[in-house]
Amino acid sequence: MGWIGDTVDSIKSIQIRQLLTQAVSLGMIVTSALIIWKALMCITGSESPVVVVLSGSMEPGFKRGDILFLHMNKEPIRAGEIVVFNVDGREIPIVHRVIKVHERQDGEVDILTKGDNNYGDDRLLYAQGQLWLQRHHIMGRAVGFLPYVGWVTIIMTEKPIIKYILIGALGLLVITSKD
Amino acid sequence: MDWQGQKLAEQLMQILLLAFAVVAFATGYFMASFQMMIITYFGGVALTTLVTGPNWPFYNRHPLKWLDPSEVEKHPKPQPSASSTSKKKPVKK
Amino acid sequence: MGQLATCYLQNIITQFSGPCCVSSVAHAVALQGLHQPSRCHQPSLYCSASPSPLSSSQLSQPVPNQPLQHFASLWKNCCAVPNMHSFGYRANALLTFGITLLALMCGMASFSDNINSPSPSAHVQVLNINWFQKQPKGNDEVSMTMNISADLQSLFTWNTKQVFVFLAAEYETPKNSLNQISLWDGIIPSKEHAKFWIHTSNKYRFIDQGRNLRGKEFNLTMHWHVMPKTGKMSADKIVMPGYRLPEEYR
Repeated sequence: MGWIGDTVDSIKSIQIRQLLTQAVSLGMIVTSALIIWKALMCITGSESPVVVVLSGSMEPGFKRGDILFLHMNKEPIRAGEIVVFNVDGREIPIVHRVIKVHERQDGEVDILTKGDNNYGDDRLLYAQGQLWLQRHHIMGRAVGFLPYVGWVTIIMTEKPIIKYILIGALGLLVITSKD
Repeated sequence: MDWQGQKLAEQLMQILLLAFAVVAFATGYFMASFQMMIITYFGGVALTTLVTGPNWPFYNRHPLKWLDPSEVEKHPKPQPSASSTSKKKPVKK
Repeated sequence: MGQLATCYLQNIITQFSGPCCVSSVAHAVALQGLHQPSRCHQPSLYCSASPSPLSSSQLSQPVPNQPLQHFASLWKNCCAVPNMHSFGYRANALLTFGITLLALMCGMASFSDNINSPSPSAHVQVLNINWFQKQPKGNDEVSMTMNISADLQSLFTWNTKQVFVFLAAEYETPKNSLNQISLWDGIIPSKEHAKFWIHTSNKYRFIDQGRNLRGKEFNLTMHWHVMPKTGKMSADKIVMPGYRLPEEYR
């Protein structure tokens, strides 16, 4: 009877070990993802280094679902650059092209933007009575471009049920998988 | 799919994909068409899937040979030296 | 291979489940343009807004199944020794390697743009000052007619989606160290359209911040912004100096 007890014990201990290993490696994955994201933030100097385009106001350059890589540095902003900016009272950032720049001697700058696919400039989108964007509105400028990849994120956001199904299934697999 | 077959499938997959990537890039570059590159590459991926995806017969040419149960009865206590022969046939690497 | 799979899984987790990076995902998801209402920041809405018949119909959609398989095998790949014994594992290995190669090809395509050394040319002629006046608010405004001709064909490579080209007036005033005002812009979709000639008045209003435009000397600069099919965007310009506005309003 002794060897049966031993076997049961060993099976139990194996399961606990497996569970722990899986928990630890899942934790490793999550934390290293966080590390990568934060490192990207440090390198690019932008608080969200990768963004997904959600509207067609920059077509045919950027379509819905494209991914932009942002970069933020001290260099002055010039006409023609594609910038991502926040407007006061509007929680969603906008990505548009700079068409007018007035830079003062002390480095303060007035910027006007416009979407390539829009008829008029962006003054209608700015806060009430705001004529120019200042430096602090700018979150970053677009430097790189990758088509279509952002659709995954858009689908996840707009059909959250798919997201929950995926997360649930992944969790289930993590718990039940044995190798 | 047997062990040899798995190895073969993995190698086939890598070589085929790499070859198609090179061909696609060259085609795209010299025809100056990005679309051409993508089409060629996805064609290659489809072909590779067809070759390495299903369990084709040629992946099963080295099945494991198990000993007959009667063979085991003749040697009820396998000796340490003979243990390797009484177990499954070692896989050639 | 296993490491790559881990990397992809990390991306996926970053994107979707992320309690780790709520703010970043919120930002990433929230880059929404003009007309669409925000759907990004109200997770509570989702629960109430998905009645059961709808959810069951979405359950039957084939979309999530394949990524699911992918996730599962990805997960196994980074925990266990990769093997090829079932279709799922082979499909996963194929997908991982395939995507890696595709990314590599895109990177090389983007890199190959550096080999191209463009030699574009541009010429602008100011034909007429239509009117030149002081606005009621006190800023100078001018309207002019121009002849723009340019040859940007050499900018196009196989990885070029479009070239955005614009003409800006650039000048210095006592108040501002630099003023850049876009006067005309256009999108060139292909190499065939890259050699053009256009007769136009300024598309955007030429308004100064102040009244410094009388007798002002300014540069006309032809800027272009190359948008690739994938990869790094690039920009450059040709400066054409020596234009001057009239001494008096008209």
